Amino acid sequence: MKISLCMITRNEERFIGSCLESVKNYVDEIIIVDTGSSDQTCHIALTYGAKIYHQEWQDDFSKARNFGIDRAKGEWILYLDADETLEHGELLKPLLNQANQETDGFLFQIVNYLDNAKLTVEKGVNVRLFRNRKENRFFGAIHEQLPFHDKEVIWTDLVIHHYGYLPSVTLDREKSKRNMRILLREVENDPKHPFVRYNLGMEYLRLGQYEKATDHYLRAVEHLTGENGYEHRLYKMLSKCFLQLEPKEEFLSIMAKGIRKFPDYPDLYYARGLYFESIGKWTQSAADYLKCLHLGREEADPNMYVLENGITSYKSYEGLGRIFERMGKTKEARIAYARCLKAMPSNLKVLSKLLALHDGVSKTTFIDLLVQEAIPKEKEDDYRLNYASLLFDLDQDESVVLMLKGINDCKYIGRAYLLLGMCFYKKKRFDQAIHHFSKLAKANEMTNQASPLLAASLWMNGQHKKANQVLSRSNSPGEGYCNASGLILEELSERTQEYLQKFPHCVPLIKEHEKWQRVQKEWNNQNQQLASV
Amino acid sequence: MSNQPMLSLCMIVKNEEKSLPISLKSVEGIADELIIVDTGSTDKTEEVAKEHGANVYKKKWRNDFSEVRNFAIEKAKGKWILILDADESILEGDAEKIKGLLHNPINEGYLFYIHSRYGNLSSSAPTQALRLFRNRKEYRYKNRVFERIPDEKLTHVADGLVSIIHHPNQERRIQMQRLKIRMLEEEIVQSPSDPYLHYVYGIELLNAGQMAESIAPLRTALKNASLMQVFTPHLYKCLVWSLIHTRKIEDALEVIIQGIKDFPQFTDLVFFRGQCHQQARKYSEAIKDFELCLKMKPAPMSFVPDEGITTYKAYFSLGQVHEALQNHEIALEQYEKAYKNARYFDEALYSAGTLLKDHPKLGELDQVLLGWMEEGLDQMMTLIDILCLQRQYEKALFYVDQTETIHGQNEDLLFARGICLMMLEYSAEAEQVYERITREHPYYPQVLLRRIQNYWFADQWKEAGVILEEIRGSQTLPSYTKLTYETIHALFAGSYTEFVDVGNKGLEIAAKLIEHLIYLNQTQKAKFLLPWLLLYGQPEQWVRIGEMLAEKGDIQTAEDIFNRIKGQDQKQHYKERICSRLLLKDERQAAKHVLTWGGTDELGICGFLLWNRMYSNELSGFLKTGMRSKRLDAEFKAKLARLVELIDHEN
Repeated sequence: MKISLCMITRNEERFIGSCLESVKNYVDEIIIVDTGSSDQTCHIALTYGAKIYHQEWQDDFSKARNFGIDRAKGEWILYLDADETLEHGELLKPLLNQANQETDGFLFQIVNYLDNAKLTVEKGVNVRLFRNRKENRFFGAIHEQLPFHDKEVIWTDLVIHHYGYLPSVTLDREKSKRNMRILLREVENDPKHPFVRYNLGMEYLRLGQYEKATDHYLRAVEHLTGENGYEHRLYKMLSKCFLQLEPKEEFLSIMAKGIRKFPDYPDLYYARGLYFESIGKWTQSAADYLKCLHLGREEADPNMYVLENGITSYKSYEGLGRIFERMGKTKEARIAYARCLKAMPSNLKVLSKLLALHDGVSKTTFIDLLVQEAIPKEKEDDYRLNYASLLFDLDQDESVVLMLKGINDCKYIGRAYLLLGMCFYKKKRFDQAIHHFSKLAKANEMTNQASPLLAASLWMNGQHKKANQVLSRSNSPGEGYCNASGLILEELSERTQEYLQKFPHCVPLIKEHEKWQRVQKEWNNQNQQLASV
Repeated sequence: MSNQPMLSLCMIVKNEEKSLPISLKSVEGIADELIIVDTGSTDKTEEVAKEHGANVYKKKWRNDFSEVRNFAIEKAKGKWILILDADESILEGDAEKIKGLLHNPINEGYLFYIHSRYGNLSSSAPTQALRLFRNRKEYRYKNRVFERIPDEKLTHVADGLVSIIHHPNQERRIQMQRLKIRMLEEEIVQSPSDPYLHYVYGIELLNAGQMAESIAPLRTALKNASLMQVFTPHLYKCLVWSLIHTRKIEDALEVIIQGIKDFPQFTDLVFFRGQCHQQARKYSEAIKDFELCLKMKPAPMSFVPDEGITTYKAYFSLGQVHEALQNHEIALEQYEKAYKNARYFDEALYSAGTLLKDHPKLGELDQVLLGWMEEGLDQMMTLIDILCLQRQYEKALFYVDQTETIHGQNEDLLFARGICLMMLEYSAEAEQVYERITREHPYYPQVLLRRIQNYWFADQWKEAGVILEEIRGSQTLPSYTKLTYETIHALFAGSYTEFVDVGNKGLEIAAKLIEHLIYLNQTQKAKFLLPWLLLYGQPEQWVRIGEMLAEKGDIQTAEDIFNRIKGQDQKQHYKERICSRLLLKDERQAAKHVLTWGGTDELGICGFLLWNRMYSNELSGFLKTGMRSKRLDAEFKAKLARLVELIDHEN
């Protein structure tokens, strides 16, 4: 059984490499319909052995996709966008064994990243692998759909990561304009078409035009008939728009309608909770957040809903924490924040809130609460390390030590010292950094990563001879010297920069700063050149 | 013309026989009537007054200025009242202006400027006060001290653009000050929320040098004052001034911000803000403010602005800031501008002198300054003084000779010649020069002080003892000077002496002497005096001594002083100054050592530059050591070699 990957592209040089990389070994052919790239897209695709067809863009996604599918030789079609990557491509072929005669497609998990830190995530499902039959063709000029309502499709755990919604990506004006053009044309043809309205809403939402988006979403709700996969999302998107605008009374009735239809869709409760919070109705807000947490325990059906991550856990806990704080219920707020951290242990903002709530309380109490409420027993040492480094960022030296003290497994001790050393190095407290890196050395856990750091710390502390010793005894002295030099240069350059920020009018400082920048630049250039050779 | 006199002068006097004639002469020809109220003179005041044609009335003093003033006004027949004190006079040429004011039909009163000839508290002088007003029943004084006619009573007041010169007798002034402060305190108890009383009370404390104490009343005044009151801008200025001089920089900034909001055109506040930033080492903000001052117009006269805020003082401050930032060339340019905008502003020359001496690359000290100055005896004397201060005694001597040739012999030049010779260790020659100034000459006591120094330097203790005897007997030398010289002599003689506190001026004499001794390589002698100075002296004096020690390479003693200094800021300041002094001499190792005193967390600009340049050298050395390692593979070796080359090239 052969699989053909079908893709349509236009100026995708930024992502296409990683996309093809993720599937190249698991598909039998790559078919690309390019609709007029002026960048390196085609060149990159060729290096992956893609068959490239150039097709003039006709404002119709389905047409372009179907053009590619028509040329595919595989029995199965996998379709991806260039801004997506497939995780665990090696499971693709084994999947086909599950298919019987009736099976026409497979559902994949789609993870949409909404911010650059990849913290906000939306999940959904979509048919991405389907049998190459004549009738399995796309329809709809934009946000093209496959006619799979009555076919048998199989649920899979395979994940596709989608980066196209990242703010840095979606602002691609050209594409946005293109989408808008097609949609406006379609809505003119069929003003009552809810799916087109829905997609127009999406485009406007992305452009930040919340009023227009709301308008189209509301029209979509109005004209919607029968069952479909996106209605719940309509309500969710509406809630997003409303919360961006000053929410009006109307908001509550729309949410009520949505919740009546989709009583187990947590995102809607969460949105309403935010609204109640914003108008100071603490109790009602808390009730909605609690409902989200409750639904989380029951696990809402991901088949049914596109779920924003965190709503059934840390986001609602954080909301509860805020509300308890407002209501003056410090104890409850602490626990809510701690549980929030448990679900999202890298959340610096919440950790500092929790710290603030422990102002004046002994640090031991604070650490005890974290251990009790925010650390899962089975991963205790991992979490301890993690919190320790966060607490270090927050200048909580005492807490860092307390947190690390509790580490049980001796295999973590080395990492703890490394972490402490690195933290102190970052804080430019070189004597402390030396102290901790040296312990690492004593435990014979000196690594290639640690020795340049120790050497640089020693050097910055004026102990040049010792720095030499550390490097010459390390596993790879050459690399060590180079890395340590890089660190020292960075440090010196930074220091000069710091002084310059304090005294920006000082001419000799400006000159010194320029000097370090020149050295650093040359050094980096040289390293890159060597690397490419 | 009616028979009613036009202008009545009203004056209160007590024992003013000396100053009264000057005062009355200044209103000759404009005052048609002189009303003088005597509150109990025991000298010839009354006769003098009558000689000038005054009507003299007696009135018992009852601790109430308003009462007496109003009494005088009651007696006046003129259409207008002119208020003057016996130690004041109308500025020459301004009397004519007063005549013109009397015919203005609109105005009810005029504000005059009072320039005080005492003190150096420029921020409280000149002040503006109502001194000329129509003779109407409603216009009567209020308040027992700092009497004034309330603003709400007398409206339509204009700036008279007339100046009054105030030249008080020093002792009287202090007496009056004490009296006024006491009376004010009583009055404040009676009307505790009157902003004016608190304002003048604060100013009096300021003038008495009680900065810290002045803050509370000035704050109270500001709290109760409204923006409409004439004195409010000046009140802001006085409060800020007190706060800055008691080093409450953050508080000062807060007041300044409010003040600028209320009176955006008050340049002095912008200038003060610059000074605050300068003190806090926020040099960029300071530069911004001083440059802003240069762009602004001077504040209206009624705000009592300082002179030169928008010109030479701003340039001068910019010079100081750039000097601190090690931008020597820019600093010199600013000093030049400051001086050229105010040829009497010698401070700019002195600062430029220090800068030029420390950074010879900028040019020859004497040549540069001569290029700025106009020709003249005063200018030459200034130059010679600067050269002496910068210890360029040979050059100074050259200019003494030259000036003598052009302008002839004078005592100042003799004096300068003596100092130069003394510091060049021509002790006998110096003595000869000093001897040419005779006992009758007003400089003679000063010469005595130089002569004893000369003997001290030359270890001629017996001769020094003789001079000391003469110093003791001097009528004109102040007591603190005598006590200081006495103590120094005793310390040198090794006789047991208590460390007495001789006050700031006395200690300054000692500090200068210590500097001289170190300069002359007589550090041993200096060390006799050092503990005494460290006990009572000022941080700035220690810095100067430390710098001189550094100059002479005595780092150990400099460090001893460092350890005696209290306060992190002052330690830091001392350290930085010593370090930069060593750097000027290119003694990097010593400078680096100094930087380690008390930890290296704060380096200062100079220290950091040193640190940074040393790092370059050390990094290159470090890498060269690394390259000798046998376990280095060729690729990394080549990379490191290139880096070393890069760094060395930059140095």
